[in-house]
Amino acid sequence: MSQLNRIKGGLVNQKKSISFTFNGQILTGFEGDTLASALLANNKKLVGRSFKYHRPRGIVTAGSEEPNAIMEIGNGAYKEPNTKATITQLYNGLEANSQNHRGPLGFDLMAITDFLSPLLGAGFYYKTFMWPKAFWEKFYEPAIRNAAGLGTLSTEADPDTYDKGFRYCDILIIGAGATGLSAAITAASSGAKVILADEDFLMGGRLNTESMKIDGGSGSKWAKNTVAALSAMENVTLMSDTTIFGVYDHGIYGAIENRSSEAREDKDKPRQVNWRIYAKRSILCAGAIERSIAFGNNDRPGIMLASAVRSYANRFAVATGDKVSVYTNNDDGWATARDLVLKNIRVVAVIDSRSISPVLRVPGAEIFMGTDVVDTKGRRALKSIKLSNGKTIDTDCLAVSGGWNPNLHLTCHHRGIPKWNGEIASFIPDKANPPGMTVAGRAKGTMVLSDAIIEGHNEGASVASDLGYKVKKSDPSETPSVSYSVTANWGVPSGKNRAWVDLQNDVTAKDIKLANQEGFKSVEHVKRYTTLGMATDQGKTANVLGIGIMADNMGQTMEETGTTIFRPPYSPVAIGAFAGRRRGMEFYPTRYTPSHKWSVEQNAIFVEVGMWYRSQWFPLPGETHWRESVDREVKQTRASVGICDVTTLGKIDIKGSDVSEFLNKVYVNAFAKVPVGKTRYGLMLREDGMVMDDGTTARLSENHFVMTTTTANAVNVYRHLQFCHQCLWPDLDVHMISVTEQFAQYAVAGPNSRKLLQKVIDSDCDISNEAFPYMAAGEITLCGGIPARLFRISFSGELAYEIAVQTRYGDSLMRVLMEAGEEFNVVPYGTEALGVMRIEKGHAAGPELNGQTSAYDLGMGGMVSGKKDFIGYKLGLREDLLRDDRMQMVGFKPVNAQDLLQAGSHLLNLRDKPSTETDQGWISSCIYSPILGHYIGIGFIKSGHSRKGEFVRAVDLVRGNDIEVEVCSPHFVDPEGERLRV
Amino acid sequence: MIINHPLLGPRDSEEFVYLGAADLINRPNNWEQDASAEDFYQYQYIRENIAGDHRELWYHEQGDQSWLVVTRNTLSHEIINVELAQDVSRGIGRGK
Amino acid sequence: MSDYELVVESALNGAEHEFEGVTVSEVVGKSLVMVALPRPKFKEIESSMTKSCGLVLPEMEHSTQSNDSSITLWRLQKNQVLAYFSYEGNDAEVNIANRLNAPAYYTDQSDTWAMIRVSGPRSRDVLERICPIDISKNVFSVGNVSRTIMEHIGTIIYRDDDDSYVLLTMRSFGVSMLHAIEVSAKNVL
Repeated sequence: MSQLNRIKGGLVNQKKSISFTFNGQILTGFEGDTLASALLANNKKLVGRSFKYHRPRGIVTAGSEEPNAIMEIGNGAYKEPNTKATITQLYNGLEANSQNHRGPLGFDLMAITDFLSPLLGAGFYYKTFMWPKAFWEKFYEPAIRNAAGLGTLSTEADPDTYDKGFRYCDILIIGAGATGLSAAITAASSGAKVILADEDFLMGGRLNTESMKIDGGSGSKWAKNTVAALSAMENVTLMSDTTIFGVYDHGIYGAIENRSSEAREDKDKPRQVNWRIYAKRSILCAGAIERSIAFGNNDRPGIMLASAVRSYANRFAVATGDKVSVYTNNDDGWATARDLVLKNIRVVAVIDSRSISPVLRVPGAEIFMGTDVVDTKGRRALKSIKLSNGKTIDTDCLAVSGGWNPNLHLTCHHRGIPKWNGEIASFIPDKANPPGMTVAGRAKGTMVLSDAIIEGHNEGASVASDLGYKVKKSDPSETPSVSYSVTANWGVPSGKNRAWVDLQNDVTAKDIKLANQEGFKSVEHVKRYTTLGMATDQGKTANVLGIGIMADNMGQTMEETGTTIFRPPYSPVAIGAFAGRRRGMEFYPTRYTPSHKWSVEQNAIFVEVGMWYRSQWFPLPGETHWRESVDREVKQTRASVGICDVTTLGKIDIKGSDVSEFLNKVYVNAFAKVPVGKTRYGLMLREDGMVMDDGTTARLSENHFVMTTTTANAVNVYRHLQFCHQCLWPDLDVHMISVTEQFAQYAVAGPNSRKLLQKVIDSDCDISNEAFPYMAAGEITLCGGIPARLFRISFSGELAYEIAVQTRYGDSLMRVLMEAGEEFNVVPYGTEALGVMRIEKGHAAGPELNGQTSAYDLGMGGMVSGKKDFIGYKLGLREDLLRDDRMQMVGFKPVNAQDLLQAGSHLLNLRDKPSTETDQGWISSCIYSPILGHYIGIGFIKSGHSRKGEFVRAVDLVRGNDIEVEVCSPHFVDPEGERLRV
Repeated sequence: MIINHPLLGPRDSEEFVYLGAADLINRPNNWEQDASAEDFYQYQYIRENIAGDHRELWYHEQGDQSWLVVTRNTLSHEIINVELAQDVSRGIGRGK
Repeated sequence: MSDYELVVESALNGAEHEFEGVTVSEVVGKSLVMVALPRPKFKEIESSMTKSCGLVLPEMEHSTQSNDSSITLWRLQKNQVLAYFSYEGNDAEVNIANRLNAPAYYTDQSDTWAMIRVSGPRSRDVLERICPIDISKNVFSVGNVSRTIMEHIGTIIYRDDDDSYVLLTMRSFGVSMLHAIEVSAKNVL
């Protein structure tokens, strides 16, 4: 029996059927349906089980405030739990499954919890699972985790894609109902750039669900026409199916655009786009959300909000019952009775808790004024209700209206606290809206449609004119004024029957009472103790009702009771939407070196250094262990010549008449008198005297220097230099620019490096030891006139050069050097061999420059000038930094050459037991030296500089290593530095 | 968060890097005197923990690479004023 | 003559991709030189440039062009401009210094950047997925230039025609930036 409850009309396309499944059953709906309206059309009243007590539940609302009808959509990895059926646009092939039950939905095994409910009241976790303590981890927690939670995760990676985007506007209008559309049309007509966003896939808000007329025609028609007019304007961006979920500082708004329909047709398209909207001003026109009334067993499937019953009838052409009854405390509830009668849906009773005369005539319905509903019957679907006058009425759908709450969620995002308004019996936004945001219409508490339209119209005009736009005079659209009157009714005495307040978290009026009795007086404490308003719907339908019950319990006013506030997000946002496209390789960008393509051809193994991909080593066929490759690269370099891509080191070009003076201020050693054509090693400190970075700086001409930094610190050093220049010495004539990427730079190291370079460098450039000695720098040409820079510097300790060409030649130069070096048995080496050789030479690097080491600690105290001010000079002289018993950097070698030494080992005196008190220091860097044939390390030990020759233990409790090592000089290979000067 | 750059107009804070209090511009000049140890100590470590308008240094790293002095209210997060650090530095007599 | 020859390679090997409404292609044949402006010499530099080729210093985030339109200056920092001009030689620094004939400091940046053009009627729709600054038609006009961050990558964006934008990222990021633009195009178009 297809679509049993479908009636004529509505805003769905009844000519276009859409097929979907619910718990495996194939059903049909129409284009324009939500999943909820299609389920109701198919008479699916029971759609889920409640969180705690597994009570049978049905659809309650027709919007994003829905507490009950949350489902798992899709299957396999695509499955998304806790999706609100009320805002899920129906599409062909949609698979929906109800959640939170074991066994079939109709016979949930976990429903036992409902009978145990006396044990499960507010705070039951805190009370029940206290004892015995040991049970918590082994028994209680696993059992609770198993029972709790809504829906299940696929546990597979989300295969959907997400994207982000950025949009700018003058005015962001949030909500495209009557107020928002009025505001948009006036604001946009001024020429202001407007973004209009609405969470519904159909703009118009409640105009699509109500029967009142605007400008003589139907509300939905007016909305459609207004949207069409707006979409024709170039200065307007319409974003439907887009939820503004958060208001951030200085006019930044978070928005999720749902593009599921697009993603379904083409799996490569993003399912959602997370927009960052920059708006000079915003107008919140988010309307209002209806609330319920707490009475006995008010959670049965078939008990819905009155406005939702109206929405399903008017917009979706669905009758939610054959015998509908209405229970209200305000005039608006009567509109449901009126509209249903117009749609030929039978209304059996209207019950109004107010003792006034009936608001409307409702043909065929019994009218009960000053009467309440006190109990209901029907486990899986509503069968009857019982009134306070003792009368029982047979009904299959009860439409409840407890009044309307302005939807002021977003006004609280900068800690704005709503204030109570007795006239509409609800909270309205106070003055402390986020800067730039104003509120209009029902979100502001203006409950009468005609007033809201005028308010939107005026607000749109006034905000546009605030921003300097000329607003053309126009009249707001007209609609008959229908008054709204409400008398607060939070709940009725319901005896033993539970009266539900928060349907999603299963919080009852009794739970709130219990919390109050147990001493929880603050609304914030009650919220956390009872979990009122803490579910995925954030209590949109429940909060005000709960506060009202609290106020009654404690005999105080609503003002005295106060309210909790809302925080982002307005409705749940998928984590994937925050990640956007930044997953896998796109988590962050990758930087490739100039020799990357060549290295790939050599089957190099790569290592990530920051974002850079650097060659770690170059395995040859037959090599099975990385050490084989690395040992070979080191030996071959030290024996003949090796080449390493060092492009990643930071290079900063510094020009100006005051550069040498500037360098003097940022380096510990003297730079004022570096001659042109020379390179100098420089050590840079932080202001607190700790080493920040080191590198070489070459003077290429009188006013032109080029500085190198470590790869890791390239960005920080540049930033630091800019700080020193702009903030400390702004008048120095110094101009810096990064040239890291301008040059491909290769280290050519080893005794045959000069011979190799002489083959490629043009013959008029003399690089003999006499003409181009150690630490020389200069501009040369190679391969027939190609400009290059040559530096005679050495990290390996061998005769070595670094040669830099414009990056356009980078790939080619690597190939040329390898070809020219063939006769010398040249070897490319990676970062591992680079590391081995630097430790063999005792150069400090990242593990040593850890932010806690001074120049003295590193054995470079001799470099520190006492004749000038430089960053770190004064604080570097502090007594404690100069003490001899500080951790000082030295070398370590195993007493037994076969022993394995590991970085991270702690150093102990021979007879001490490992403890914090006896700790003498640590090994910071460690490698196997293929030249020496055993492990060597550098590290820090108390008074290290004066302990050379002493024996200590290197202990690694994690990896179970405990060996004897000798404290020695960190310069293991060629300590006199003779090789690099030949 | 948006910083209204004095040369470029409003820019997203994503483009900026934060350093700390603008006091860091007032680096002591008396390094040759023994007494300056205390001045440098104050300069490096001692900060007011202001609940209100706080002057602080931001670097427009992904932009024009200027250092800025931003006056930000630590209670409301409102940005009251933005100046070029160079100008502030020159304004207090710093030069070479 | 040398026994060896160095071959030139552009950052992205001349990559070019067509999408419906958008073309993504590497910009080649352009040079870029940083021209640093010592503060006391702003006026002198400007009048020299005006004399040599009719250039004035642009306002911040704007550009100016020489009389013959062959040189474009971008002002991304107060104390420097970037000269963007058609030139393929490896001595762009000397070339532009001679042409401008102004007492500034010149530093070649031609090899520092990968340059990608995104053009076509839907270019803005593609770029708004990665570009955090406002590039709407009437705000970011032809000739406007800005430096910002896109997908973690420092990027210069220059509008060189009605529906054409040139994006510059540090050369090592070129592949990642090209990928980011192509993902946007696939997501949007």
